[in-house]
Amino acid sequence: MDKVLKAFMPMTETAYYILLSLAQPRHGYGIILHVAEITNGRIKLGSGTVYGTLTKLQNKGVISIYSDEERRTVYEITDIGKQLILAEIERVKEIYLNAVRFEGDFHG
Amino acid sequence: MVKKVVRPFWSFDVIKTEKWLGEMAIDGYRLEKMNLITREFVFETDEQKTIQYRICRHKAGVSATSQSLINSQWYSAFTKGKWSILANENEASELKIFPSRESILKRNRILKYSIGIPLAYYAFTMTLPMALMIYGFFFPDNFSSHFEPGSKISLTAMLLFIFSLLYIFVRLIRSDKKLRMENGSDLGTPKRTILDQKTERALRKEGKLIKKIKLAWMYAPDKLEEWLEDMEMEGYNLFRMNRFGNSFYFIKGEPRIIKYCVDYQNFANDGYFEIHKSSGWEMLFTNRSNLTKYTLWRKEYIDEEPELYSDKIHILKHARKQCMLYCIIYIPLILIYIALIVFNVRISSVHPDRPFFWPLPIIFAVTGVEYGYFTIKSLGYYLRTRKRINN
Repeated sequence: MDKVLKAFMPMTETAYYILLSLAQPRHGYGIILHVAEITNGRIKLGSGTVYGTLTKLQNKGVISIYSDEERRTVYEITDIGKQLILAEIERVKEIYLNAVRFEGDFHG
Repeated sequence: MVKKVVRPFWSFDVIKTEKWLGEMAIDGYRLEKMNLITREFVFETDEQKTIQYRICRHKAGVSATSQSLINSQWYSAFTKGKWSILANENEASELKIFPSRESILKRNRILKYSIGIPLAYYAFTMTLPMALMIYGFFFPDNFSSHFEPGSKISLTAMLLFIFSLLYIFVRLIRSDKKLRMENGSDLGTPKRTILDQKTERALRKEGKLIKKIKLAWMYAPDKLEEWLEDMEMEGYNLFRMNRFGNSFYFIKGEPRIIKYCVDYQNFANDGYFEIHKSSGWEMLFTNRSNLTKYTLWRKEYIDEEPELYSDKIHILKHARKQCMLYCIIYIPLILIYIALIVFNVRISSVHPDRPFFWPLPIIFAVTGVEYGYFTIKSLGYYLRTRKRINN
């Protein structure tokens, strides 16, 4: 587990949003659509980037795959992955709280 | 009651083994355990029922049954090392999700290469000596040499070993085909051309269809993308490539704004083709090799240019990986050819009386220059990519 945390933290924005969208199992294209939706179209992931990131996450046991009825690949977060995203969310929360706390200092 | 069955080649055709396990369950034999070394399956008698089995590979210590699979009542019938046999007692028609085939395909690919390469090397170097030996083995009278004691046994053992490797190799190829066709279509094959050969020939005579040949484009894929995009702008619509990837067939039509992308992967699985196709990319070409896979993708667009890679890190990493691969392959070869040329020239200076055989160093020089050209081309590609990204 420590190894995985070390390898992925801090996460890139791409990897963070890909993993975050796996709160439920999704197809590769489903991930792209979901990330575009929750970032209001700010992040439009390229399918090559998503495939590359998913392969890396899968090799480290952060996500696993299965096939659906039409034998299409579905990506699912593993228990290790859940621990990783929770640790990352804690870090992002800290960044957010500090952003709110000190934001005013720069407005003057 | 316990029943034991040995199946030495079970792992080389998993679909067949899964079917067989299912048939055993219908006959009232439930898989209890197996021995991976002796390749023995141990069954317990149980009530007769239908069980769906799926054989999986996974990393040691990582469970093959994900939460979704467990929710769909898949359970592990046997797990040891990297192997898992998952089972589900629901009716086949009720099953909505299945363990992925990817890990088995990956293992087969590695096995195919590790058996195929030594076999090819062996066939290349040993066919003639082996044929002579086998001839002497069956017709000792016609053979001037004699066999040492024990040589016949070792020859037979060697032949048996080679034939069993060949058998496994063929089984793996067949099993791979079955696995890939399981979902009804082979994703890694470009769609066949819309035109039949006759129409194509007729169009070519009328001048509406043109064929262009481009060699060694993979060393500078960005140049190919640019060229294809320009051709489309001029109204030459690429509609197919040949299977080797060096001929491009265009039809004279309307100008189109299309983004072309050459993508390089070490391996490409079904998930790779799936994600790009569902994202609206059309595949024009993919080389048949499982190693160093080049795939040409395209997508038509109006305003915003689509990108296969939305992050810079991936783009640069790909260019660097490819450039390094060609440097590792070609630079040592270039050095060998230079050494060979120097060696040939020096021999002639040491033995001036011997006639100097000119064609040999010339061939070496031409080959060396060609490899140098490939290396420089791919280096140029990497530098251009780096510059584009840094700007």
